[in-house]
Amino acid sequence: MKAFINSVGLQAPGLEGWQDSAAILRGERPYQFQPLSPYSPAFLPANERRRTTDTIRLGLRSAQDTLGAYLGEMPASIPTLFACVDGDTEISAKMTAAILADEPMVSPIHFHNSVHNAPAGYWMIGQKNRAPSSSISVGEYQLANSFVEAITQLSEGWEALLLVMYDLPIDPIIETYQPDMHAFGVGFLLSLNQNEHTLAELNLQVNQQACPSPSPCKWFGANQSAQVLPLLKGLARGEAGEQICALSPALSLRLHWTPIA
Amino acid sequence: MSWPLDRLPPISDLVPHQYAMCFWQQILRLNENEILCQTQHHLMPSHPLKHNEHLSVTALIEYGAQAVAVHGGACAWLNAGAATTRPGYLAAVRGVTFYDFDARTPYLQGLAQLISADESCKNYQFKLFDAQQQCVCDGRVMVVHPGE
Repeated sequence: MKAFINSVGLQAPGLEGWQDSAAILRGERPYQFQPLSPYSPAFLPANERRRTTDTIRLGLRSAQDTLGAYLGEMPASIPTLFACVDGDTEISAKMTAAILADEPMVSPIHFHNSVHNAPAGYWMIGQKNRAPSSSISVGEYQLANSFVEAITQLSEGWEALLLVMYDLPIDPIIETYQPDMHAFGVGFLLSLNQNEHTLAELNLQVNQQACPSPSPCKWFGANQSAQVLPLLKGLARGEAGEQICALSPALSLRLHWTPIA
Repeated sequence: MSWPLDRLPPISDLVPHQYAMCFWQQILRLNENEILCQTQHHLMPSHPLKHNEHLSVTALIEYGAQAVAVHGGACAWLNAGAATTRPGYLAAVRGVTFYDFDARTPYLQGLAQLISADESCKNYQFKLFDAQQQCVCDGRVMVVHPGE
């Protein structure tokens, strides 16, 4: 299984914007935690923009950073794959709290935003995009399955696909499950054919060996989407490399990348 | 060109599916790009996918996927002359359409056609027909082979 990476987006504290983060990923500048700057999805109509949550905005800003150089040139009609492990936990927390109130009253906007593909929906509205879109959640197998799913969708004959992986820390009201992590959002514009924008070739190989659970990432803790950092560092440095990630309890996926000058 | 079916072992030697989970009983036609299989297995009272004696149409996807597996296994056998089937995982099922299906139809036929392939993955189109040659289900599957 093979695809080409044509563009990358990155939105995380201290790594805001792929272009601006390259020097840090190359190790030329030290990483420093800095909260993400405020963001407003200007491409959305005012009504929709007002209804966005932190999770939706992280997905949108990651998608926007990925397509940044392409917006206007890239047909808006490419399919999208949004991958988020925990979904919008702020909305889940608000809705569960509302249900437990003496007079249960769930906000229609929260209800509307509570579906897992809400961020994808706002992206499609804002981009006037009616191409197929999937929103997945695969826990600790997120990274491997996101790339496999992206390539299986591309194999349906699409020219390109936008993959966005993003997660925020869990809402503090959910006390029983609080992995230590920071926000992280990343995006890739993938295609099955090389073009003049191609940054790297990505090869995927399924292996019949289990892969140990990844250790938390130094900068972003247990955020599953941050497991992609070895690939991002390789792309920033223009160096070939590989990483192995868990695809299922019994299988692993080898991601191998080769930069294309 | 059709391939010599008489050189093939029983289907259960070509696929990992065994016993009652091995759905196809006969290969009617085979070449490197497609396979046509037939079976009466769906009539089996103890069918492993039957629930309350009822076979759901969604089980037809498994028939399609197994036709793909039989094609892979039979091609590997005829190319190498031995059981050298590579394991394959179902990575995607897309574009599935269900049509009228009467699970009492005397036999089912399954056609799997190779759309594209590289070293590690294959895309197939599958079509299933009842005994009246009416299409009961079609769709596409992607199979991924693990590395050595």
